[in-house]
Amino acid sequence: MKFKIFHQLGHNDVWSIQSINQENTGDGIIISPKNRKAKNVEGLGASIKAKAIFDPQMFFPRYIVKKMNTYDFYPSLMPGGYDTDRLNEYSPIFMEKCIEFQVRNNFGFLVIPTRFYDNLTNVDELIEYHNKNFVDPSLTTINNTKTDKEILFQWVLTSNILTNKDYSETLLTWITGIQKIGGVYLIIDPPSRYGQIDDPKFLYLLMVFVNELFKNDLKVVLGYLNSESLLLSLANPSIVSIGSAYQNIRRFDPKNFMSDLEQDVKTPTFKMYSPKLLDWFDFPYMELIKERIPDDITYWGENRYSKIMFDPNYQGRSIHKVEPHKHYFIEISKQLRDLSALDGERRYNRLNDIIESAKSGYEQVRGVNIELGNRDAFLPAWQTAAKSFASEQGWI
Amino acid sequence: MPFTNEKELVEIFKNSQYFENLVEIDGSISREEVKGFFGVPDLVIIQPTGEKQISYAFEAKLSNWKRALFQAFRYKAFVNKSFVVMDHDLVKPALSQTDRFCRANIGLISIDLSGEVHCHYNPYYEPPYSPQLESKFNEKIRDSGEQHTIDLFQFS
Amino acid sequence: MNLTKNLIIGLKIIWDKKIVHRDLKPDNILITQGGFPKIIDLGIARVLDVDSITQTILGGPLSRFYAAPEQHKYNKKLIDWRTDQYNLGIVLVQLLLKGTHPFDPNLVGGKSISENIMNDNWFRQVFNDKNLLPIRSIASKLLGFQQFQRYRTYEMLMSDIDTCLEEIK
Repeated sequence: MKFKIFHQLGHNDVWSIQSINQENTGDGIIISPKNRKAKNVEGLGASIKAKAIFDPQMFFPRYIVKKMNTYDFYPSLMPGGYDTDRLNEYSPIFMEKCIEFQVRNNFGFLVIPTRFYDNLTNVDELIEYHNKNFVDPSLTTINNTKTDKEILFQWVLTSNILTNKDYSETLLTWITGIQKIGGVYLIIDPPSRYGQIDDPKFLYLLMVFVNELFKNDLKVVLGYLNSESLLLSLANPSIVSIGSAYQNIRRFDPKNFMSDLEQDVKTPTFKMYSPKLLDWFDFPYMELIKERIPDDITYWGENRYSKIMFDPNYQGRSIHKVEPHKHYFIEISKQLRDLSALDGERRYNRLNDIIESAKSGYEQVRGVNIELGNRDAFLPAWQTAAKSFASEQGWI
Repeated sequence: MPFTNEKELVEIFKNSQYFENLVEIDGSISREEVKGFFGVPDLVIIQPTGEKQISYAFEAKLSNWKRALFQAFRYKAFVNKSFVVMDHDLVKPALSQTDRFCRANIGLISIDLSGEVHCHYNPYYEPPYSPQLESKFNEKIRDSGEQHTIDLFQFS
Repeated sequence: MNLTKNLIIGLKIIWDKKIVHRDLKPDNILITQGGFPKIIDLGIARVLDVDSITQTILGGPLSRFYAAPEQHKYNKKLIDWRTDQYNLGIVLVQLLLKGTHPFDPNLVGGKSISENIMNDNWFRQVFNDKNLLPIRSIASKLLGFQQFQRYRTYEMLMSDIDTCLEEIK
């Protein structure tokens, strides 16, 4: 099954929109109210909004951060301030406003928001709480609005949930039992927020979870992804997200929704995505690899942004430059579209080829005496997860 | 007996004869934990040597030689010679991989609690692989104004 | 399969009202002279939106033999219309086995039908008969151990049944 590519918006989202329109690097956007004021969302073109998912980001009902204060549907706005005991009283109002905002703007989908849980709260209570405060009020509003938009149920999937079989199965039972939804918008909260995900068990369990939703004929949107979108495409999502040139910036971090201060974020250094090595490299490494392996264009791709970035006259390498972002969008979308055109076993074989090519790339780089430490440790993890999943599907 | 922590290792190394020999050249500059380049080396030295200078970076690790090697290689972006400095009691696994240090041209040193330094691989001089970072680094260190004509560290 | 289809059409009436029968078994299915099924005994049926006064999860002692895993776990909150699918799945395979219970220890080992249900141990070899192959995927799905392994929507279920009936023709 073909899948689409959506850009997960955040800071500098105008570059994503430009890249989609000018370079066809995506099929839609996932809008972040934390980063874009309500009036600016409403001011987006109709054609963009029709291909957009609005992510309510209601992860912590108690908090509002950054531009979320320009919206009127957050529970923290209840009179007298947020109070858990009064949530049940006010949630129908806020869910109604949230859904109405989405309907009014004619987004591609309607999203039912949910809370974020870091630990494993009692699952029965969690389900009851969500049904009462989020799901039922949202579905009631949708029913009254008589819209025919597809409904997505949003959920943040953590490592805690995935590695607890009973818990994840109960969640699956619940989610697949919500009759009116057409899909699930899954936000991935990885085990580590820095670097590539190199936990094969997490990746495999994630693919199994996604695939179970797919087998229930639910569209799956995978949010807050980086290059692991390539691997996760095996699990039959309908939409995968791509973030920004800086892998850690667009990764989901719940702390970013609790405070206006960006947590633990050092300003990233200038990095470039290598489609061959499937990772991002700081400028000194970029130069060194290019110098010692000059003839292989597959390392960096060949687009106008990669040419600019390697130009000796290129100045001011920093996160604020557009080139690394647009370069990444072009290269990752090429890889993803390549995979999207294939199904099942063929997609797995192609992904395996991509990973093998990356492994030999790292060997080649080491062969020219560039020390990369354990940078490629994620590749065996991806391969293990992919193989386990493929075996379960009967592809190998 | 091994070192308790990396800070202790760095302190002993700074006070070693080996380190003293490197900084005894008039006009040498050394600094600790220089930030803003490509990684944060525990110690750096710029040593004027006639017309050209030689710059050094040291990454101290008790035992995780792989991580140290990776970080020390990053420092080669802006220095001529980069070293891993390890606890002598725990250097054996790294010694079985000296060819990897040689290929990357990263020095491997170990030190014990008495301050005795064992040099297992001495890297050859190489221009840093990022000329841009090199010139920024040299500028920053020189501007720090801390030279070894004025004793930067207290040597016993 | 036609019988199954008609049963499902009948059940849809209560499913649409968010009622789960919870006690589908041969005793509660009457066949008219015309061969159409009639479902009886909604004695332990549960309205999903209402907190039931009764804690009854299983009906009489025979109901246990047709109960879904979630019913055996006595978790009222997990029970939904997919529970009826499981009950129906047992009835369907039992018909194919000409009356033998698919979880019968005499067929598949184990200590009891209930234990076999909880171990997902049923007589899958019934589909070694090529004539019954078109029914295999439907039966397997109805008997999905987890509810999320069964049919999510009525339409998906009916679509597969119609396809199966076409194949059988």
